[in-house]
This record gives sequence, C-alpha cells and structure tokens, in this order.
Amino acid sequence: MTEERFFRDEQNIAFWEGVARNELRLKKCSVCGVVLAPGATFCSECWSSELTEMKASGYGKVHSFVVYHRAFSENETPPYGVALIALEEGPRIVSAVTGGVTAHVGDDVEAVWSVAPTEGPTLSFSVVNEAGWKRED
Amino acid sequence: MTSKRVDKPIAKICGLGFAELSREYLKSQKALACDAIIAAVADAGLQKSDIDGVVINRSDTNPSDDLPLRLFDDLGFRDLTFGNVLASQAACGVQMIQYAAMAVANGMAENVVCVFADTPILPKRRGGDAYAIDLALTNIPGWERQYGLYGAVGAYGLAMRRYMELFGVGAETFGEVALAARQWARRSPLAFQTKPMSMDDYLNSKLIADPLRMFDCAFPVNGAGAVIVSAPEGGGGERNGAAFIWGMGQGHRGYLAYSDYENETDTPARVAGKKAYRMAGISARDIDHAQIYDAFTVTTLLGLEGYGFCERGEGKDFVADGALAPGGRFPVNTGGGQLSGYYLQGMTQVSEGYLQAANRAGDRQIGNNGWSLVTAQGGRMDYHACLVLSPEKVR
Repeated sequence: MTEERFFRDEQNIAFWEGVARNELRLKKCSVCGVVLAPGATFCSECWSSELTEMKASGYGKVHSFVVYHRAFSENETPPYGVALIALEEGPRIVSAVTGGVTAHVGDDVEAVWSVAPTEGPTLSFSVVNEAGWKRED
Repeated sequence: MTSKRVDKPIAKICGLGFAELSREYLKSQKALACDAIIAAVADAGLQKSDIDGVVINRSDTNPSDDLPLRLFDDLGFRDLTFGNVLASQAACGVQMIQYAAMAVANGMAENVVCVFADTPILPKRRGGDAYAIDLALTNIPGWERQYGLYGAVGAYGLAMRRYMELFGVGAETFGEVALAARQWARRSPLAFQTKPMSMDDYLNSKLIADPLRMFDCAFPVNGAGAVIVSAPEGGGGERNGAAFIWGMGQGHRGYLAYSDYENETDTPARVAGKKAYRMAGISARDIDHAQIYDAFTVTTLLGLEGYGFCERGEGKDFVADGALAPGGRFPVNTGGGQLSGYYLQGMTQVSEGYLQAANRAGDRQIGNNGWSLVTAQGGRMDYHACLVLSPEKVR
C-alpha cells in the first residue's frame, strides 16, 4: 500500500491493497446474500456476521451527483463533481464521474482506474453509451 | 401496531422565549439557553418554582460540553422531577416537546421547559461551515473524503439532483419554496432575510453544490429558543395563549445505501405523519397550515410529500403559483422558516407552530386556524418527528 494520501488509515489494509490492484472489494452476506459496503462487518439485513469478500464488476448507474462550486478544504479546486454510484451488485458508493460529459441520474457507468494514483482519487466512473462504449468528450 | 385516537389534548405549549438571535458570536450556547428559558417562563406567566422539568436539545455543531445538564446549576434548579439532554440531531426540536408532553400527561412533571441553543457562528467559523454531514457509505474511513464530499450541502445537493431527475423538476420549483419563505419572512419581526426576492434573484443566487444554490439553504444564526409544555388542565399559564397537542409521531430509519432503498427522495416522515394523524383522529386533508422543516428547499418538498399533502413526486405542482406563500392555498413556514427566518434547527418550526396555533402570530396570523402540523428532521432525512396542534382544548 502506498502512503501518498493522508486519507488512508491503517485499518482496512486489505481493502486498500485491493484498490492498489484496481479492485473494489465488497462484502456479501453468506446467509441472506445481500451485497454490502466494503467496510461492513456484519449484515444489516439479517445480522449475520458471516460475510465473504467479492470483487465489484465496475459497472453501475449514476444514482445522483453534485458539482461543487466552493472549496471546503485545500484539497479541492472547484468546480468539481461528486457522484453517488449504484454498483450493479447493489451497494452505493461515493465517487466521481469523469470524461467531461454531462451525467444524468440513471446513466450506465463503468469504473475507470487512474494510472497516476497520486493525482486525486484512484477510482472514478465514466458514462457508457447504449453500445457499451465509453463516451468520449 | 395502531396508535390510539385521543379524546383530549395530550398537553399544551403555553409560553415561548428567545435569547438574542445574531449573526455574530455574542455568548455561549449555555448562556443563550438560560436567557431563552428565563424568557419562556416569564412568557407563560410562571415562576421559576413552577418549573419541575427541563429538556435540552443540544446541537451537533459544537462539543457536548457546551450545553450540558450543568445548565441546572446556572439556573439554580432544585428538585426537578424530569430532565434530559437529547442529541438525536435536529428532529429533537420536536422530540423534546413530545417527551415533555408524555411526562406532563403521565404526572412525571407539571411544567417542563424545552430549550434549544446553538452557536454555529464562532469567532473563527462561518455559520454554513458548521454543518458537516458525513456520508460514510463505504464504512472505509477516508474513502468519501478523497472525492471532496463535504457539508450538509453535499448530501442535500445529491437529494435535490435525484429528486429533480426522477420527477422532472426544474430549479423554479425550489425557487417557489424559497420565494414563499421570503414573503412570509417579510411579515415576521423575528426573521433575518426580509429583502424582497424574485425568481431571477433565486436563479441567480450562487451555486454551492450544483443544483443546490445559496437561496436553497437555511440562514444560520446563533441563539436559543425555549417553550413551556404543561398538562392541558394543569397549572401552566395561558396568559399569552396556548397551543394544544393532539397528535405526535416519529419516523426513523437507517440510511441503507444498497439494493433499492430510496434514501434521497422517500423519507420516514410518512411514518411519523401517519402516527400523529391517527392519534389526533384526522388526516392530512384536515390540516390548515404547516411548519415544515426547511433546512434546504428540497426538505420542504419532501416534507409536504412525506406528510401526505400530496403524492410522492407531486410537490412540483403542489407548491406552484405561490401556494405556500401569504394568500396561497396552503400556508407553510409562516415565519419565513429556516430559509429566510432563522435557523434554530427544529425550534424554528416549533416556535412558529406555537405562535400560530396560539393565535399570537401578529401580521402573519393565519385566519383559518384549525389543525396545524409542526415537523422536524435530523440526519440525512433519517429521523423525523411531528406534532399536530390546535388552538382548541376540546374536540
């Protein structure tokens, strides 16, 4: 695991190691089958502690998004977008939509792993068109 | 699970007091709370010795030590029979009235003072920066912060965008809500934002977390408000008028960010409203006017839908053509609400709801003053509470 970004703590090392391999690791309940957030420690549906790890496909839909026009810390330069992505496995995560297109709620998106992990977040999402191709700007 | 229809009011609200509301730091939360309590007791025509219960609604914007039970020391209370600090966020503005009402209805206390105090504005902090909402969906510390998701404006901007795109709503709908609040504020001596606002003013207001603009946001102030809750027939003073509590409800959920849980545009206000209406033996159609929690314009719309004044997604038509404004079909947030009046979390709606139901609202008094609704919410629209009020002691 790299130490470039202060956001990452020493907990959840397995999760961040997955990110370093361009994998988003989710949790799945062995009892009721619901797919949960990466940091889940037990199932909020059936309360079972028997969770397994699974790799997210990287496909999902835009659940919602905002564009900040104001910086709340020195780490951001507005305007910048933040999105809620509903992964096809079920969980929603905070991420960003890249590629310069205007996103809409319900757009299909695909994971884009950045090759320069020191420059901003590693994972973002790109809108894909009906044919399954990423939309380019 | 059914709630019982009551045949007489559960309790009454019979006094209101404020500390000085300001846009600068004048004094501590605790000192503000004491000012509001002393004013509320006087307003009810009561004495310190009449007060046997104190419920405090603490704000999350400051450390818990800023508004502790130690308030009892400052105010010299002895032999209280009911007291607590509630900290389940802004829904507590209404919740504390509910707990006080249950206490006086069941003889645990006679006159309970309920106080909220807050200082979002500190010498080195602007008001808007005090309200952080952590959308920790992954449960992996640090994940969300990578993307720069900050503040309540982010969480509510996300809700606003989803609401707009699911239901085909444009910015003007939120503008209608903001304009109505501003028109009411112009009639309230307590309101801060009283300059006339046009739709163009709204649409030209600064984007903060697009689609959320400056005029979609509540107006934070430092200050405190307190009300007295007493048994309907009890010793509580009615010198300046009383509002009778006929229904109370809460609705809560966990924010579950998976499967088809719809956190952004569907809230458990539904649950709270159903409970309260059933207790009062009425339905949403019987409500003449309402104070709906409006920390953001989208919360007014979702509140109107959740409390059954229109169907989900139909808020756009419901608020059109100044329906919520003075002279409109359904008066809402008649003191300017949190958007244009002042933001004291749930206490904003409680105080105005009391003034209206007690026929004390001056130039903005609603003539058609039968049943009314007061709501508050906390979290990411996760925790809801409401009161059904009436000026009438008998049905």
